[in-house]
Amino acid sequence: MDRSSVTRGRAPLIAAALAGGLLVGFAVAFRLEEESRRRLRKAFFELRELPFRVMV
Amino acid sequence: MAEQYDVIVVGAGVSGLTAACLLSKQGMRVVVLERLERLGGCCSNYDVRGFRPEVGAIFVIGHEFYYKLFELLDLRLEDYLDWKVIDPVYYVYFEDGSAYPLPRDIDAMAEVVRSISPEDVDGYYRYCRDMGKLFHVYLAFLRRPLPALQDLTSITGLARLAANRELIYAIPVNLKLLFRNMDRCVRGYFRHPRIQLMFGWENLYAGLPSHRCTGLFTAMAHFGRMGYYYPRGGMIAIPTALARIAEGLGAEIRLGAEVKSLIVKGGEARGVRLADGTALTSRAVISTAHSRVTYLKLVGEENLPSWAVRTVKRQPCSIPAPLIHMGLSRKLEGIRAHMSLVANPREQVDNIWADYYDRGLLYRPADGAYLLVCPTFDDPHLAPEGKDVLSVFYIAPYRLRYHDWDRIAVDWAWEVVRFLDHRCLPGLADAVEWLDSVPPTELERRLNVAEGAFFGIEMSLTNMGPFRPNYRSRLVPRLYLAGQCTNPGLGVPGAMISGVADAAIILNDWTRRLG
Ligand SMILES: Cc1cc2nc3c(=O)[nH]c(=O)nc-3n(C[C@H](O)[C@H](O)[C@H](O)COP(=O)(O)OP(=O)(O)OC[C@H]3O[C@@H](n4cnc5c(N)ncnc54)[C@H](O)[C@@H]3O)c2cc1C
Repeated sequence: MDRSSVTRGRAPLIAAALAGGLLVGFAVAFRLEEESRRRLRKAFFELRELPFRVMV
Repeated sequence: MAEQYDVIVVGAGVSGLTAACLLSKQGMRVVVLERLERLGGCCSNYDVRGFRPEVGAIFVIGHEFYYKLFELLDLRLEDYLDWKVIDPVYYVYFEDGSAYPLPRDIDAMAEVVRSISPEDVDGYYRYCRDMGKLFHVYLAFLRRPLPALQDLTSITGLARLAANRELIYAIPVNLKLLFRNMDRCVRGYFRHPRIQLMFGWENLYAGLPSHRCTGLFTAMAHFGRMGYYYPRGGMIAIPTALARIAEGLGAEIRLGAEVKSLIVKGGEARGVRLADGTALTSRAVISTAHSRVTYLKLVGEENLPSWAVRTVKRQPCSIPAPLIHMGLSRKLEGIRAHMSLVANPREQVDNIWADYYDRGLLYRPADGAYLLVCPTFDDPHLAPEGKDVLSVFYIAPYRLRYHDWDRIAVDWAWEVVRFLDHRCLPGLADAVEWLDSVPPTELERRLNVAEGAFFGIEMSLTNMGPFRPNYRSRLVPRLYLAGQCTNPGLGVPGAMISGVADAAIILNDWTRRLG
């Protein structure tokens, strides 16, 4: 069996794990209190901005 | 056509004047353009009927750095500035009416700690030992002779300056402070909530609650004990001294000269256009205005790629520093120090962020925390004889959700005055002869600092070092940025360091790029 077919065989598993992770992530984020959710949003925003800030 | 100047400096704050001094000393033709009729920007005093409160900065931490700057200029600091050490460092007024001075002397402070919580005395001495290690790194750095200006930007020059034995001894403390928040650090040394407050409220300077603020701010209380300094004549004495030196070295300083835009030719900064229409040309421009002002207004959005406009707009400003200035008709007995802290229990101070600040709300005066500053305590000449100047710093957001600052600023200020009168300064309300309420929006208008920000741009890890606007603009060749929005940030000495850095970089670029 070549390597690409191994990967293809595991694809549904990986997709399910990702979807599960996403669901758990949403659930956790949903249950966070307002302050923590705000901090999380800010952390993501800051992370996204970093490469641009270096260029200014 | 030959340019009129080698370097045009936008802004006569401490950063611009520092760069002007150093570049003039190198024989460059320099002009400093300042929109106000007053020197100093955020480090200045203004005058209303003989009352001269500070516009922004109220004291200097790390005054030793100034001696280094004067070394670079081959001058003696004593000939220009007269420092006074602030002692007691603070007076603290607690919510039950009790008050304590925080003296500079280590053992005298230990007695204050003992009088509140004897079991914290050991922790206090441990704290002094640990923070002392950091202070020694700073002192060792200051003992080193500075390399020549142009070598200050080289990696080896900087490494030689920074390398010292004390740095190694301080590594464990540094790591502890770096990887813990301030709340945890303070709790690690002290148990009693009041002692924790005395050593753990400087997170207000960072604009963050203590559990979100880096532990490095824990060192600030100790640095204050090692010396917060105040120049005779008020904070404006610092830019005045720098302006005198710059002019002596041949620089031109123009007050009331607002720069409307940069002249951008072939994508490069080649001069400026003033509000009155005059055009001035130069080989390089240093802007010390806030990065949003520099890029969005002076350079202009049309001269920048859209991602850069977005990035500059989105970079968060530090918290604003709203103020209430007062001229008092008499000296009040309740004012017992240059600086006083009026605070509630520590948790309540921390909750100001989540409960009010982040939601755009203003609290009842009794729920706030206030820093009172009385510069006439150390220099009586800043008010008419027998009178006092008092300024009150408080925490409040730039945008209020339900109110307009311009409408409520004066009423709010009087509410605060009445609260302070009741809580710790009896007779204050009656003694107010003149009052000036400066909310963040007004600070922004007066100083041209976006959002009236205390330190320009937020002092957080993602907005420091490589993530703060570059000294040498990556967007517009021949444009250099200095001041509180650049590195290292954090106040007057930080802004001056950026002026030194710009001068060193331009000097190097002169031979390699600017031609
Ligand atoms: C309320 C407040 C309290 C503070 N307290 C302290 C403190 O206690 N200790 C401390 O160390 N630091 C303190 N700081 C920070 C410190 O004051 C600043 O970091 C420092 O003064 C900044 O100097 P600067 O030269 O970078 O900028 P600025 O002082 O802002 O100077 C920039 C200058 O540029 C001028 N300018 C802007 N736009 C134009 C234009 N288009 N044309 C011409 N001129 C222009 C402005 O008028 C200003 O004079 C405080 C700041 C504030 C706001």
